[in-house]
Amino acid sequence: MFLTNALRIALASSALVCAAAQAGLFRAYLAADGNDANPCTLAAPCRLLPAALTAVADGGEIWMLDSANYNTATVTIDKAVSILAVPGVVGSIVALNGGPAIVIDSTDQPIIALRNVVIGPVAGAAAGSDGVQVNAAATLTIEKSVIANLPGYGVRVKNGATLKVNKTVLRNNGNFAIRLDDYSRAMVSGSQLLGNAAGGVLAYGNYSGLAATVSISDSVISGGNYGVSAYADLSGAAARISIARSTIERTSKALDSEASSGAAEVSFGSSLIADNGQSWNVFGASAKVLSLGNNQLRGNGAPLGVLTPLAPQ
Amino acid sequence: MSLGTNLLRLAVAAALCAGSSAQAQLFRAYLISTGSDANPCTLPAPCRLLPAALNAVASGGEIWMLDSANYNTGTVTIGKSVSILAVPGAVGSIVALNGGPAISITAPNLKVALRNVVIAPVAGATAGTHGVQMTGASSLIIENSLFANLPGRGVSIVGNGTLKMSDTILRDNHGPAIYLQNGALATISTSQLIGNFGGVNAYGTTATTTIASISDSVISGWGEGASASTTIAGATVRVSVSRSTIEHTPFALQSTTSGVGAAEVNVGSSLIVENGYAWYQNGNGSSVVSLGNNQFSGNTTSVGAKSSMAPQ
Repeated sequence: MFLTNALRIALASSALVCAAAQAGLFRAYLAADGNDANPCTLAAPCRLLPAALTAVADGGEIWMLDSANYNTATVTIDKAVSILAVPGVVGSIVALNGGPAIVIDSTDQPIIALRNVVIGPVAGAAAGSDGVQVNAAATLTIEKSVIANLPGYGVRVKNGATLKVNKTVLRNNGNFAIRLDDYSRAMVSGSQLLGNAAGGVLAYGNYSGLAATVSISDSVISGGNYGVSAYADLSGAAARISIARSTIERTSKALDSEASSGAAEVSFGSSLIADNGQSWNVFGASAKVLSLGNNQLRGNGAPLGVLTPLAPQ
Repeated sequence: MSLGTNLLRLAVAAALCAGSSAQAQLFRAYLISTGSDANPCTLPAPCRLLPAALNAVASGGEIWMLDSANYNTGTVTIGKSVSILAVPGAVGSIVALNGGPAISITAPNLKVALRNVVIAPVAGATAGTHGVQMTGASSLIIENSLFANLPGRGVSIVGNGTLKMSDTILRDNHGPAIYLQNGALATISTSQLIGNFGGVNAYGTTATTTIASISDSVISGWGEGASASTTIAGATVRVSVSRSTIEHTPFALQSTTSGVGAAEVNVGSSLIVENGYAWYQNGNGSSVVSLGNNQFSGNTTSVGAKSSMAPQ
């Protein structure tokens, strides 16, 4: 606390900070002992995310300075911003009262980043829903974060959103760790999707003429009903998931590709698929699971459908 | 070397006498949010901004950022060998603003390391350019750092400099994450180049050899994923990609020449998916070469030839 107070006093005199404060802060600050009546500067930080989001300039940053919870209800992000907890502190954002922790609805295509945050439920409160919902064509990066124990999805994106999940743990959520709808796209790398009830990643192709697409690299998916599921049920729609250098283990269906209409595809290479109920599940004439031929499959139950070779290039 | 030994003694002596020896060059200079540039940059009396610490530190020394704060107000020019780091748990911020890069290195023969720093723009201020701009033939190491949202390039190396980058995130920059030109040599590993306008872009516009290797990394975003390009005879540019992912870019693997020079992108053990062009090979002397064990899927199309190299 001494250091934090000292830090505030010191930077209060900084010309950079003072200049920024008048025209929307390039960096807004939150602290456990902050107050939303403050201007969200380092000298006078705010307490909760909505106040900081109002104070920060478009394209600016919000720093959580110490370990605390920084919201009391769904936080709506409607501008480009990077929200981070400084390393060594827990920047908590909770989902409660039927809503998600964070919702992004802006149609201005903002570029948003969450770094070193922890998103979870509030035990004993009225249950929330998902961790993060992106309902418009925003770009969201989530890195070095934890999204755990939520009743719904860890992250759910739709309407052409772009999601990048990097070095993040999504654990023990009630639905899929990550769900994409329509023509949204996602990149998952260096992440752990563990014990989510419905499974790891669902790509749902339900927009005619376009595809929901996901790549998964250097990641681990364990537990739940599906490891990954590419699912399409509309003519002309498609869902594709590509997996490399990853592990899918102890799920009911590791690689699921289903298309009652439209097309669904899961491809995988250089990966470990072990101890799943089914290694792959292919349903529908335009559904495929493609193997690069260099994967390690062991201890899985009987698959359903055909595994299609994908020629390495 | 007696000179080196003497310098070392001097530096250690300065450190031992820290606080009382403002003039002597420090083997380690300290910055803190409560510091003052009138201080000697010692641990008991740290400075506030990077230029003061760079003046105080001995060549080959270190600068430690002790707490979370921003440590510059204009382009920081590094003119000596130095390691700059934020201590673990702190955000060591360096910003780009007012038309310049956050960090500039123009001198040759330096050894510079950046570790655990965050380089970003200042929203609302006059825009800066790149994160790090190096035009001197020096060695630059970047570890465990973040370059985000810059108006220009994340890291720009023009000339005979070397870059070794690991465990670093370059995100949502408006230029290429890493730009190499005319003799730059880059080693990029375990890094994420996400949402930039270009991943690794290497150009030869003089008769030089420009080389990048990319291992265990991810590239996603706008522009080219990995790109080699020459526009002059005698220029050689080679970009090698291994155990990496290039996804959701318009041009995943691009090799082009204006008809002269030699440009090559080679790729092995990698995932190349959901790109517009899986490869784009165009111009005499250009090539895209595959080890034959890559996973291509969901790419829209390609231009030119993808040749093969035998695994050995």
